[in-house]
Amino acid sequence: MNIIKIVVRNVKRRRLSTSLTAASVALGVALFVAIGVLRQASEQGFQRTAGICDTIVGAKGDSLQLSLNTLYHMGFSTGNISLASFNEIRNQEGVSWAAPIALGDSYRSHRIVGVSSEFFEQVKIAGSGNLSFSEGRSFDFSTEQFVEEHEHLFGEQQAGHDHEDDEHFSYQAVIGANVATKLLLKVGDKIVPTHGVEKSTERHDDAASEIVGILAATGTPIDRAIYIPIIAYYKMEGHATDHEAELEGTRDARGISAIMLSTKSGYYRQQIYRNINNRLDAMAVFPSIEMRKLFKLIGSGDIVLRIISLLVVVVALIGVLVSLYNAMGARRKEFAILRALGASRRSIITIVSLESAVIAFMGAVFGVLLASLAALVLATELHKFSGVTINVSLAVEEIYLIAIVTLAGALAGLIPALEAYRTEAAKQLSSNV
Amino acid sequence: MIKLNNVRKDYRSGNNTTTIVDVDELNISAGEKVAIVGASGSGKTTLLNLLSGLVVADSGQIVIDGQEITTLSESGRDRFRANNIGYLFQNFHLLDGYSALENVELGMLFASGAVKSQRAAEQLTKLGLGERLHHQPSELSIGQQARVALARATVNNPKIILADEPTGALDSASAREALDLLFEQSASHDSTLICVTHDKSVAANFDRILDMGQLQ
Repeated sequence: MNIIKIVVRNVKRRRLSTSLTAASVALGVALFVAIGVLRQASEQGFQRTAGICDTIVGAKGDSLQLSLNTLYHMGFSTGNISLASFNEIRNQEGVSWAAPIALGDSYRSHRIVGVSSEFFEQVKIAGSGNLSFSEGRSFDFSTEQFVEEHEHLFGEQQAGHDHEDDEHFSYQAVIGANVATKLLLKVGDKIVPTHGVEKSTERHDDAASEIVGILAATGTPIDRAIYIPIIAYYKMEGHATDHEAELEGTRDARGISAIMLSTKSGYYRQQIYRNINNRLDAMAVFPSIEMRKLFKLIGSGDIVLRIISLLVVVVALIGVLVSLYNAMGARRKEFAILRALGASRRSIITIVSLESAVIAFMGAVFGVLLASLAALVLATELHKFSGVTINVSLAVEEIYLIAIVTLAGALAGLIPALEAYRTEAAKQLSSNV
Repeated sequence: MIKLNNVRKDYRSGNNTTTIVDVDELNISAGEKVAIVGASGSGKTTLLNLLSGLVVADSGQIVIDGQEITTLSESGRDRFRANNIGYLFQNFHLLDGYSALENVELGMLFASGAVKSQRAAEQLTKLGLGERLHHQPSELSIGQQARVALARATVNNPKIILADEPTGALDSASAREALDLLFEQSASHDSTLICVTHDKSVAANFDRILDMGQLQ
């Protein structure tokens, strides 16, 4: 027998009130932890994706929109930039590689991205290196071929020639790992793109593309995308028609949606960034900085949520206090007996405070476990929604949180403990109850 | 062993002060078995509480085994009580939710030295409860509860056993048995036994009978 056994026994004896008060503590702690863990893990996951390239170039507009649309396949394009601009930018000194990107179509809710084969060769995922294929291969369509075909296509189109006889590519597709598993697609299957990125029934039957490769999982939005040779975008019926081609600037359908760009060094990175942003037709953004800005923005809402969850913890601890306080009347005799057996008033305070601390500890531990479970579920949903894989893991901060909540529980227990402290043992023992 | 000099304890209620205990002199020898009798409200239980240190005298001296407990701090009195005094109550005051064995172990918890389950079990076995170690108080008869309470009061080899109406809740046969066990235990532990009782037939079994009415 020891003090801890007495504490545990008392906590067990009041199972219902212990469970309810511990559950309310758990709820607050779970909210607090889940918000923190998810925010941190999401930021890490998004930053990992942002590391695919150091710079994104697109039409002037909202820099966050450009990053989200190009890398995360969210929202809409800021507009197009011309092939001439693409050529100027990719040929700047210090550019390591530049991949043209065309966006705007989808297949069963999965974005279709027009790229050249350099995309598969150059893109590196932090921690896992270059893209690899779990099945099949890349399509063979280089940036040089794209530039050549683009000039050929629109040069002849403008001259009134029919371009369809001059095709130098096949309608092929490479799909991300999630697309393959979710849509049960395999190499050799054909997909028919639909126009637009939202639900659409406008099918590009002329551009049925054969799947030639399936990418290995990357834990980034690449897993949710379908890649086709970029020139296919311009050859689909309804894309880059004569009418749309008459539009100029960012509405010019002959342009490209964005450029993923990697520079040779930090020096060139800054220089190229400045050069591009001095242009009137394009802007450069650093996706990692955009993600930091995004999470800073989310962070203010995040703080409010964390304050609310802390208030839930405080209210729950007050619940522990009230529950113990209400039990004091019925427990006076117990304390009086312990005092008669030699327990000091300090021992009585310790017992009651520890009971409160144990309830808070149980709640905190359960809350952290609940948060881990919730974070895992939410991480799965986030992966489904954005393709970003986040690693939900508990940090040392959660251990500190458990310790702090336990300590706060012990402090909350001091109020009923002081009530117990004031118990007049002699008076209680002489009553015949 | 126990010396009381001019010990006085008053109870105040508003402007009224009532003297509950007023003992000029009282000496009790080591190992002596003393019964305290007196009318209700005569201060018998308060005297026990003064001896145990649960209640502090307003004036006077109480010296037990050379230790003046009236000068001790509250925590000092708690330690003294834990190490030297075994308390036995009329209603036994066993703790619900704890087995017979655990209730006896509680008697050792606040004293110096480790809590020894084996000693608690031996004590219960000596009192005929070897088969009831893990029973809850509610699962024991009144007589068995009285024996658990006795085991708890004596497990720590106390110098003094303070018993407040220990047979008050028992029928005459059980009371006789409980009293015999109480004498047996106090003798085997060389404890001084001070017992409050209103029952003259019980008091007659003690070495000395102190009437609170005459004592004050």
